Amino acid sequence: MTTKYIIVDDEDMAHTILEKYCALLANMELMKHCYDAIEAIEYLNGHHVDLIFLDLNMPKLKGFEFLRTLANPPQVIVTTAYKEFAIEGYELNIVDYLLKPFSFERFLKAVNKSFSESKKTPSQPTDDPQDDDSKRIFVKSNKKHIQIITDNILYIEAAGNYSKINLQTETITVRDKIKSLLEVLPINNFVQVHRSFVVATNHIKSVEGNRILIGDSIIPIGKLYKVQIDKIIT
Amino acid sequence: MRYHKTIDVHMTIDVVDRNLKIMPLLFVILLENAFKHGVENLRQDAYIDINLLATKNAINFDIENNFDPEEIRENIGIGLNNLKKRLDLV
Repeated sequence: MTTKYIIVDDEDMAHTILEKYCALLANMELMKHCYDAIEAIEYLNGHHVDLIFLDLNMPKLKGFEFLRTLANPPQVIVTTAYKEFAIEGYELNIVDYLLKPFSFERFLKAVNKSFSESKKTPSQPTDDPQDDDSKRIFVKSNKKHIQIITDNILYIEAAGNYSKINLQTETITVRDKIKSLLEVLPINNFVQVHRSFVVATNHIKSVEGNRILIGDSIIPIGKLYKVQIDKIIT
Repeated sequence: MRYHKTIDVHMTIDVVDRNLKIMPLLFVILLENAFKHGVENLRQDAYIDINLLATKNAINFDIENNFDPEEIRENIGIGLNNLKKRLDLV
């Protein structure tokens, strides 16, 4: 699959360099040279691109102002001589921030990053439906492999190197850390609410202050995890 | 020029004695300002007009550029003040 890209920069030299770098890579197709952000907006209105190389300091419409106008921005690699805008870049979810002048190696790193992130994006929707379904996982406990339906899990409590999986009818102690269990559970249904607790959102009865009532148990909410819960409640 | 856009630069020089000397880089800040505050912020039709006129005992340098009115900065920069201070030292 080719990556369709545009260059948005008001300096000719920047275009020359980026084009030269991109030409060294397979599957990169330059769609348009844009010499300011307004030209880029016009082009994007009628065309799809995968990647934008974006300069920041441009006449009339600055790089980030331009980026904010896009409803579904493609991947963006910022190329600029100013380092002070990098933090703002994070807020706008850019892939990478190249400080001019940059080497081919540094450029390559940024482009590779954009490739790996673009792979993530399309795969997520295909994962989601599966995540919504109830899932079965095997956990090892007491030399046995026990199959559990993730829907039946109320919450998981850390206990040193072990974790206690509290099901509706029983509690299973497994030799897995809570973190590795989280990785195999459907992410949409489980949320970590405390350093030592993961709860199934579907089973939460109520949330009061910094406590969650789930089944007959009361689970504390850790300060750092409060945000996660707030996200669910609202 | 670094920029892709075309810039219309006109320069008129009228100097009586080409061997006259001035302080080094005296006018560079004015030229730089014309680019920084004028040319750089315009998408098209940017121009700079420069006139240098020198007689036996007077020198006149004027520079004019167009600019984007929305880009006018309220705070005063350091360049012009430096230039004035340098001239005061002579």
